[in-house]
Amino acid sequence: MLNLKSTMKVLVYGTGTIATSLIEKMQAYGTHVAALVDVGRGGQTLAGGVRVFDLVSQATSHVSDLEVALICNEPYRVLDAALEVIDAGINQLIITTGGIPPLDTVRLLRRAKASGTKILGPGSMGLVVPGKLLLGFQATQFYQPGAIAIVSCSAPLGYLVAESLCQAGLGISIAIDIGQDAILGSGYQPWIEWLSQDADTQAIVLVDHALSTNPELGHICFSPLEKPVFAYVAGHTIPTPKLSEVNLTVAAQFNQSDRSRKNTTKAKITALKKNKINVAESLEQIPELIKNARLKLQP
Amino acid sequence: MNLLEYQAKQIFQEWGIPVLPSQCIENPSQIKQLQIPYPVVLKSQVRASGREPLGGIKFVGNTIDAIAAANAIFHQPILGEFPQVILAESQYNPTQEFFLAVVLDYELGMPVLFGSRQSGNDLQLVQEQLQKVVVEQQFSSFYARRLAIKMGLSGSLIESVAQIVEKMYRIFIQNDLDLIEINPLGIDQAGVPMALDGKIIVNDQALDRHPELAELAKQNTPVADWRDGWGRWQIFNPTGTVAVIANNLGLVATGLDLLHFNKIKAAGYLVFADDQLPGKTKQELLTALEQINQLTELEAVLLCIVGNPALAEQVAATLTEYLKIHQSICSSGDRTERPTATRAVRRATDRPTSNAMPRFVAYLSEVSGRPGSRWLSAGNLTEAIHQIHAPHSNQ
Repeated sequence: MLNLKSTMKVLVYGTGTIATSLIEKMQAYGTHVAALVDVGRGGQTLAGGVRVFDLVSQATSHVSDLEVALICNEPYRVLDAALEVIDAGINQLIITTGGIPPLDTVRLLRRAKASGTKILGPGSMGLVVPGKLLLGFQATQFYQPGAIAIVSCSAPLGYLVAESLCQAGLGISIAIDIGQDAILGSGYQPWIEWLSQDADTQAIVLVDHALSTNPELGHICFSPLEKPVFAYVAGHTIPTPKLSEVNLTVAAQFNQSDRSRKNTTKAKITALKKNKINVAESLEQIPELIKNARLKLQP
Repeated sequence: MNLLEYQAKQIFQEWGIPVLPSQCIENPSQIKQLQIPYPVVLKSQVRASGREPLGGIKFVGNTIDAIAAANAIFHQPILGEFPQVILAESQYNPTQEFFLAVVLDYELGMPVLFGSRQSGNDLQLVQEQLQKVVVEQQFSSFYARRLAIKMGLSGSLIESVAQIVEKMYRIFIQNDLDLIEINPLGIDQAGVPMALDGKIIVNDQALDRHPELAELAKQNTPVADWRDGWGRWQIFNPTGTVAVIANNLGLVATGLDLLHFNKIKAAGYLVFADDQLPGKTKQELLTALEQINQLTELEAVLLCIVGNPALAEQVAATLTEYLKIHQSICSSGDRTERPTATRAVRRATDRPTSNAMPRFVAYLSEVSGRPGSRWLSAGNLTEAIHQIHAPHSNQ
């Protein structure tokens, strides 16, 4: 997945207060934001030495070693921005904007696959390596450094998990928000397989919920993992929504019934258990399960 | 967003998918101006499938029958929806009927072509013959031919059906659709295809960049149902006692689980996007609180904003303001009564100190409670749930 270093140079693609707040937030955490692409503002330099460009290719030719791009512009311009970033040779992308028209995402993922580009998002709050690196909008105050990795589809729910782990004396090695859109650049599977090789991570917590539109968990199948994985799937008491009667065209039924069957919490938990993953019933139970697994973790 | 059959057929026609001569009727008297020769089919323009057994499709041979049939159709709701328009269409006698569709498969993240030699609304029958082709790369005509051949078609039918599928795919991509379906595609003795019924669902996230489709959608009346007036609330149990407001669906899911563990019946939930403008949040929250207050059994509203200090501040301030306004209305005695009296009665007996407002409990991760505010502040979600039924002290 992403190749992360605490000193890596970051490009932000976006405009207005969203881009500004993203840059300030990352700078405050010590992340090296080197360039901003904001069409029409090229030539300026922002606080902290962030150089502004009109094109990504200008940024890559003037600033060496830009290793990751964060895209936070408006949904209908994300596809174009992402294609521009890929074309300029940056092959690690985090898309914080959510609600991208799905066919745009389909096109983007096709291009990403062909060019070997890794994408986190769309609709992701990014990732944080506590004490070292922030890429995105994650609220860092919930995280203490440690050895537990969190992969979630909901950053705020991830915060609650982090809070309960940190209160129990277990710190966080990395927290990743895979994103809220229905079609994602990278789901749980690649991240968890990657984390099982990560030297700083001793255990992984997967956090999902019943209202997510991502159908991946219902049929997830890991190759044998080298580290203990725990999971929390919130919302197992929520009644399964009935299919809207009006939407029932024949083709929609093939698609939806298949999707909603796999997307129930029950189906997700069954699939997780098949992969020998410990599933917590509540937030509080997560640190208990980890401690019961008798892991020797740093305080 | 669903388009109606006649709207879908307008789009089919623009793209060269053959449709029958037809005319829209907005009231029975317009039947007299019908330009299409009898016999014709009158079709109720509602979103539901399977209209015929429900009285939404009638075959007529002359004007007198047609007026009577149109009258009946206009007064016949289908799954709760009354038609605003009837589509009058020439009759057609196909020798074969197929099912064709293009949908976006969210699990694969790719468009999929569907075809079946069995058309109609019987899911199982269609499915027995269903063939599927995943469009993995940039579309090219061969994907459509592959589907036609999988369906078992031969000779000139391969090309003519594949051409329809290709046009459907182009419409699908061009308009950001979630789904396009022709069911059935009629084939006559000469092998000529004809789209006899059509469905189009536009992806809501992409609607803003297709103003012409948004305009079409506006012409359709929304389906009346009990959720009307609930705005963005997702109400799944109108007799539940607690409603949840959060800045993320994951928080909603956790909150609902906690309510369930504590044997509290949830009514529904509402999510505020993290990135919206402060002014919008205030207005939406005020509206949402008014809306949820209509639930007769509602005892508490649980608010949960985590990891977004600006939004938490906004919610705290708005909530305080809302309760202040209501307090003054109540104390001045001219408060409008709720739709049902039972609630007021029940509250008057159960909670003599309260003024029939639900209790507001908030877990705002970066904002603590304020002295004098009429809502309860909790340090975490579990504590918030416990406060829902805790004895009254600081309200």
